[in-house]
Parts: sequence; C-alpha cells; structure tokens
Amino acid sequence: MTKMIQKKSSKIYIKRILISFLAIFLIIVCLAPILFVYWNASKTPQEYTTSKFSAPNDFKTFYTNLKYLISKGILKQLLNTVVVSVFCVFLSIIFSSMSGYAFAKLKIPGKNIIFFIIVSLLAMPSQVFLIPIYVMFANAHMINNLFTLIIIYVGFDYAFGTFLMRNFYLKIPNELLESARIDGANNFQIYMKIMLPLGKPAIITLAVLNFFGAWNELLVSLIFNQTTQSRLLTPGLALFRQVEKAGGGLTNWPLIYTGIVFSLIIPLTVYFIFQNRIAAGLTLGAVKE
Amino acid sequence: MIIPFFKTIYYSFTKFLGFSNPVFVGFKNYAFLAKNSHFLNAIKNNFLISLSTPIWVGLPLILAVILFQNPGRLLKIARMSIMVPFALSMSIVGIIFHALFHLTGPINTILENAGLGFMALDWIGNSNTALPLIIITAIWKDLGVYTIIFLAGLSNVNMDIVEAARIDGANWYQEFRHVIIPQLNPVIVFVVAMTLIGDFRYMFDYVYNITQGGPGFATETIEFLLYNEAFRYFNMGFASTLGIIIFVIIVIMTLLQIKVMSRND
Repeated sequence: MTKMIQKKSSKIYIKRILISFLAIFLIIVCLAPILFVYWNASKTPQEYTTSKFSAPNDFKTFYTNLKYLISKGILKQLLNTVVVSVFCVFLSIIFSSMSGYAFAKLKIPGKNIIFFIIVSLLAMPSQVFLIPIYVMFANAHMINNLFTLIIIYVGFDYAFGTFLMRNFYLKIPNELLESARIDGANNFQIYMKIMLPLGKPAIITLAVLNFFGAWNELLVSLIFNQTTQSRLLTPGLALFRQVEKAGGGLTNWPLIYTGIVFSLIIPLTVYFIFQNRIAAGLTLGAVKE
Repeated sequence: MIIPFFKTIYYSFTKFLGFSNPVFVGFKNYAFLAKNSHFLNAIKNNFLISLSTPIWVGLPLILAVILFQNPGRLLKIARMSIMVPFALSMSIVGIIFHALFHLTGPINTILENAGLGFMALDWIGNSNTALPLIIITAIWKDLGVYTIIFLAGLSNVNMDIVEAARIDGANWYQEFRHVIIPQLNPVIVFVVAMTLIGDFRYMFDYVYNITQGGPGFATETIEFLLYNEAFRYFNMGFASTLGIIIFVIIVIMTLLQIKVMSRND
C-alpha cells in the first residue's frame, strides 16, 4: 500500500515538473518574439547584424530611429489611426445598440427575416464587397479619405455588433420596458435611459473588439488610403518594410522594430485594461449559455 | 452591403479594367479560371493551409484541457502570455516572423550558435518552408484566442461524468477522447469552421508581409491573387470572379458547419 502511494506521488511529481516545463516553454514561445523586437529597437543596423542578443549599446538609438520615422510621417499615421478607430468604435456602438434594441424588443414587421439577412452577412468575406465599393468611392473621388474608411469599417462591423447586442438585449425582461412605457417613456427614452446603461458590458466588449478591428486592419486601408496624408499606421509600417526591402542592401530592421514598438503602445494599453472583456467577447457565439 | 455583393456578381461576368466601363463577356472569366495556372496554384495553396487544421485546432484544445485541469502560478502566467499576440495585428505579426526567420535573422543565428548550422535555412526564400512558415505564424497568433474559447467550453463540461470515468479507471487518454471531446463537440466544430473560413479569408496579411506570394508563387493564396489582380493590374472583372469563388467556398463551409452542428443537437 505505501509503495503504491509512493509510486503515485512520484507520478504526480513528474507530472508537475512536465507541466512547469510546458508553461515555461509557452511563455518563451509567446513572449520571446515580442521581447526580441523591443530588445533590438534601440540598435543601429550594424549593431543588429553583429549582435542580435546582446544589450543595445545606447538606448538613445531608439530616439534616433524614432526621429527618422517621424520625419517619414509616422505621427500623422498615428493620428489618422486614432481618428479612424475612435469614430469607428463610437458610430458602431450607436448603430449596433440601436438596432440590437430594435431587433430584440420592438415589434417590426418582418424583423426576423431582416435579422437573418444581417446575420448571414457575417459569413460574407470582405473581398466580395471590396471591388464594387472601391469603384464606387473612386468614381465619387472619395478615396484617400479618412471619412470613407470610417464608413466602410462601420459597415463591416455592423452585422456582428447587431448580432451581439440583440442577443444581450433579449435577456432583459420585458416587464422592465413595459413599466417604463406605462410611466410614459417613448422608445427613444427607453433606449437612452434603460437599454444603453444596461447594455454596458456588451457595449464595452463590442467597443474593444471594434477598436482592434479598426486599428489592425490591413487590406482595406492599404487599398483605400494611399497618400501620405491619409495613410494609417498598420499599412504604413507594412509598406515601409516593403520599400526598405525594395531599396536593396540591408534592411534596417531596428528601424522597423522601432516602428512596431511605437505602433503597439496604444493597442497594448487597451489590451491590458480590457483583458477580461476581450475574453468574454471572443467566447461569444462559441459557447451556448 | 447587398448592392455591392450583386455588383461583384455582375463584374465577375465582365472585362473590367478599373476606370473604363465594364464590358459583358459572359462566362469567359469563369472558363479562364479552370485553365489559369495562377488560380489553380492559389487554390492549391489555400487547401494546403487547410490541411494544417488538425494542428491549428488540436494544439489549443490540448492546451486548454491542461490549463483547465491543473492549477498553478506558472500556468496562470502562461495563460496570460498566450493571449498577448491577440493585441498585435496580423500584419505586425507577419513582419515580426519575417524578421525572425530571415536568412540572417535570429532563428538562424541561434541554430548556428547551437552547432546546428546545417539546419539554418533560407526559410522565406525556400518554396518548401515558406508556406509552413506562414501556417506557423498564423497558429502562433491564434493559439491564445482558441485556447480561451476552448476554456470557456470546458467550463460548461459536466465534471461529474469526468469524475465517474476516473473512478471507473479511465486513463487520461480515455478521459480526453471519450469524455471531454464529445461534450466539447459543438465548440470544436465552431473552431474548425472558423479556422477553415480563416484559411480563405485572413491569410492576406501574412502573405503580404512574409513572402509577397513568393518564392515564385509558392505562397500565393486566393485573396492575395485577388488583391494583385484588382489593385495592381486593375483586372477587376477577373478579380470579382475570384471574389465570388471565395464567397462560394465560404458559404459551403458555413453550411457544412450548420449541418454538423444540427446533427450534434
């Protein structure tokens, strides 16, 4: 008997060690690439070529690199990205929560069919719309324009947002709305006074997901915003690297790393503040409650 | 959104070079697809990417089960770490992995310093390793998100059945295969569908940043081909045809998902 217990406890011990190794391995695999970028952002190209893993000689090189990127317009790109993301999040929230409320609680003829069409848009790849939208806006001389990009992003976000908000609002008891109606509140007042405040958890989740969607999008903004004035950060960085590569000779990797570090400041901050909401949003749709 | 969709269908039957008016050509674009080696190659690459789905879904699944069953501070840190790539854009992840696997990049430096110089390859410039590299990049990016989804699914698993199986003497494999997997089935179907759809929708950023479709056309996927045709060569009629093909593939996969899910219920 004691032998069996001993055998069992040593088995548990081995399991613990293996799991610790696995955990350490995961932490390294997931974080090392990002840390590598931060570690090498304050190097000169020569320094990077000769020593990728040793500490940078001078952390001020980061500022020299950053100054060069600023001369290439990275601040303007940051500003554009912030403007697009903020407006996109703001408008998406308004549209999604309003139509989520309407689909969940109001009596509209044929609303189930309309909702089904909207949800089926979720499955449609953006590539299917891209060309007609581009032709349309190009003919209207509305490309290279932040406003156009905001419209497109809000349009792409609408289906998921409506889906999420409707499902959330379905859980709110009808009695609450009815008692408000008896007190004389109209639909808009109910939306402002009841639905918006109660919808807060879902709205925050939606806002964070839309923020990352807009901030990280490449294809659409690469196509629609091609001038230096209207360029966004994500395509800006991707293009900068392509230009560096096409220029021949050595790619100045530390410069690109500096650009990555710079463009990650805001997303990482948002990520760490809203970690839990992100997890909640991602598991939506996957797990039935 | 509906109108542009029908316009794409219309364009797909035309010869349309950007700013001149589209000219109706019937099924010519579709007929051209069947013998167009670029298209066939791109579709092949997308399907090769789809072949990695078992790893793509299996890794986070196993990981989620381990995280779910074992407490511990290290695992908690690991759980937080695997979610960090979520905050990075696919584009930046692509750039980072290009840097890491570059011919003179850190991966090759490590291999050489470890005395494994013979394993140091031109990962990006070699047509055998470029596509796997793109897949690895995508898995690295998605690992955390999928693990979180599986963890949420696991929290709904009936632990009494797991306990009962343990008392009946089930080993960890039997427990995983016959108790946990069946209960998680809807979530697994969901993630598999997400991965398969993603293989056709979201590879652009990686391909653009890591290989630009190269070497040769070894990593050109269908959306990358669409981008090149439409916005580099302004061959918009043909590109619309590609858009419709992507759409049809995704509709088929979505319907399959719905079918499998309703069968489970």
